[in-house]
This record gives sequence, C-alpha cells and structure tokens, in this order.
Amino acid sequence: MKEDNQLKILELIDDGATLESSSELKALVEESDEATEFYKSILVSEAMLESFFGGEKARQIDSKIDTLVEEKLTQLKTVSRFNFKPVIGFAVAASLAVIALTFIEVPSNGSISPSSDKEKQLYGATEYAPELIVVEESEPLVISGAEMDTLWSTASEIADELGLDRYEVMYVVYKGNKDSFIDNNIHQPRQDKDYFVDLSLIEDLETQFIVNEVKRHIYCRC
Amino acid sequence: MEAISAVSVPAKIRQHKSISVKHSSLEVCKNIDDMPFKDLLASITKKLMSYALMLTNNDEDDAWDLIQSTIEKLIKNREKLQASNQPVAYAKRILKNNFIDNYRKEKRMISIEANDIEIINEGLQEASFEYQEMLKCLRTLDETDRTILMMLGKGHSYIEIQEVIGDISMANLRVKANRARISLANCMGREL
Repeated sequence: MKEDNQLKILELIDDGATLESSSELKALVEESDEATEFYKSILVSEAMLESFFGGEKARQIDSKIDTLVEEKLTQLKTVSRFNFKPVIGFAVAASLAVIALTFIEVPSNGSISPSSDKEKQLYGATEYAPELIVVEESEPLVISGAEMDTLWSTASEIADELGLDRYEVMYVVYKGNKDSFIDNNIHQPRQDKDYFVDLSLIEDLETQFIVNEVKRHIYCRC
Repeated sequence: MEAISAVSVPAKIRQHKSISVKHSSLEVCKNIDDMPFKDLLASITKKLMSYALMLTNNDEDDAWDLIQSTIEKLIKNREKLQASNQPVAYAKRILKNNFIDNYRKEKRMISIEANDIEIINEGLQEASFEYQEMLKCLRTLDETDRTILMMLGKGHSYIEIQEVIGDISMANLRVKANRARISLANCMGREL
C-alpha cells in the first residue's frame, strides 16, 4: 500500500471522517485488502494509545504532578529557612575545643600540684585547684535529606567547609545514618531523613582505612 | 482581561521564553516571566511525563522517581530555567541526565550508546496481551517516534510535543508523527 494513501487516510481520520460520513475515506479504505487492514489497525492502535496513556490515568498523573510540585516548593521554603553554615562554624569551633582539651593532662584527683623541685619553686608547695573549664557539647551538624542530591556532592561541600577529606565526611554520614539509606545502599540516601554528622566516628581512624571503607561501600552498594 | 489569548500556531512557536499552556479548553501561549513558578514547573513536568515513561520503558514507578528528581533539580536551578528561551528543552535535558545517572547507578541499563538506550526492566507484566503487543511495537520505534506517540496518546497537542522534541518544525513534526502512527499500526496489524 502506498504511503501517500496511508497518510491521506490518517489526515481524513484526523479531520473526523468516518466510513459513513466520507466517501473519500471509504474509497481509499476499500481500495484493497491491505488498505482495509491498515484502516482497522490504525483505529485499534490509536484507541489503545489513548486508553493506555491518556484518559483518566493521564488526569490522575497530572493532578499528582500538581500536588508534587506544590509539596516540593513548600518543602524548599521550609528547608531554606535553615542555614547550616553557621552551625558548621559552631561545630568546627566546638570540635577544636574538644581536640585541644584532649592534649591537656588532668590528674585523676582533679587537682594539679607541682611535682619537681623546680616547679615547687615556681608555684610554691601549696596545691591549688584548677579553674573549672566547662566545654559544652555542640549541637550536632545535621544535613537535611531534601538538600542531599547525592552523598558524594553533599559530602564534598561539607568537606570544603570543614577542611576535611570528602571520604571522611562520606564515612561519618554513612556510618552514622546507615538506616537512612535505602537498602543500606550508599548511593541511595533517603530524602525524607535527616543525617547527623558525627565527626567523632573518625577520630581514631586512619584516613586510608576510611577511604578504603567508603570505596568498598560504593562498590558493593551496601 | 487576562493577558493570554489564543494566537495562531506559527505565532506561538516564534515567541521566545514562552510556553504553551492549556487554559480550560483553549491552548494558549504564555510568557514564562508572567507565570508563577509553580505553574511553570507543573506545566513543564506534565509535558515530560510521557518522555519519562518512554525512557523507563513504561515503568510508572521509575518514571515517577525520575519526574520527582527532575522537579527537585529544576527547583534548584530555578533561575536558569526561568532564564531559558526553551524551558521545556532545558527541563528535558535535566530529566535525561537524571535518567542516565540513576540507571548507571542502579545498573539497570544494558547499554547507552549514542541515544540508543536499552533497559532490562520490563515492567509490563501487568499489562494485558494487547497492550504488551502495543508496547512491544512501540519499542521498535526510535526515541522521538515513541515520545510523539505517547504524548499524542496522553492528549498533548502538537505544539506541546514540539516543545519536548525540540529542534523540529511543525510541518516535519506532523509528517514524523504520521509516519510513526503508520509504523505502529502496521506493526500491530502484524502482531495482532
């Protein structure tokens, strides 16, 4: 069957012609068995396309999209109100304070007394109580899942802010929030969860170990 | 009176930073700068749903995931979207990049060579035999033809389809659409 005839049949159908209403269409369709077969096929395929992709289902999808857009925009407004940069600054300061304190040796009885003769000369023989240093725990750094595109990109941003290695941030986010990843898959952070960044998790770890661990998770998706 | 009005088809196409919008039963052309961002986003996303379905081989769950992640990226890139002369084409590129990224991650894609994308995920088990045959025939068509047919099936106009397909004249689009319809009908004539 000539393509020209097929196109003509299509045009007539698009214009609303039927076998009853259009003698031209009828003549074209009845020209050959092939043309009749084509006409039937086109009616079936068009109807199936419409019923499969269109109709009520299409309306439901459109309405679902409206709701989703509304939801995402509202979510964005809520998330935007929270700027985590100051929190990062505070977390860095607090972490530095904690690290500094770990290097100050404080005797178990809580007092400092001069031990050597030289120290006795300097400070005198009397024991004295050290000034009480109170270190408040910082608010934990939290990343909103809605802000997390991929763990890689988010970790890169935070690593830049904190002056850490990207893998270190990935490690603490993943290890500290394993349940917030779909199927524990490091590639699939859930958007509806908040992720705590607990830097203490890497305090005693070698960087190479951390890198290897993260790479292993990336590879095994677990 | 609302600033929108029915204009002739060629005039709609020539306007920059405009998008076709269905307004009641009327299809009109709106400048995106005059549209609330929410409406712009919804309008673009609705047009891209068929394309998402085409990419995911009609797996609705996957298409929906793809649409969600695309919406999120479009919100993040709001300025770029609103500054674009062809916002639908811009959004389509984001959706496709998302698709490639997601499927690479999940290893659900057999190959990506040029624009030929094959997917293992069938997702057709629930469809009836006839629909499966139709979808089987659709898969024999190229990406553009499939998108055109799926959008026509969903009830999109040729102007909306043109926005998604991109660089194609209206005359060429109509010819391409008709040929795709013929291919599908011929394939189904053989299969059924």
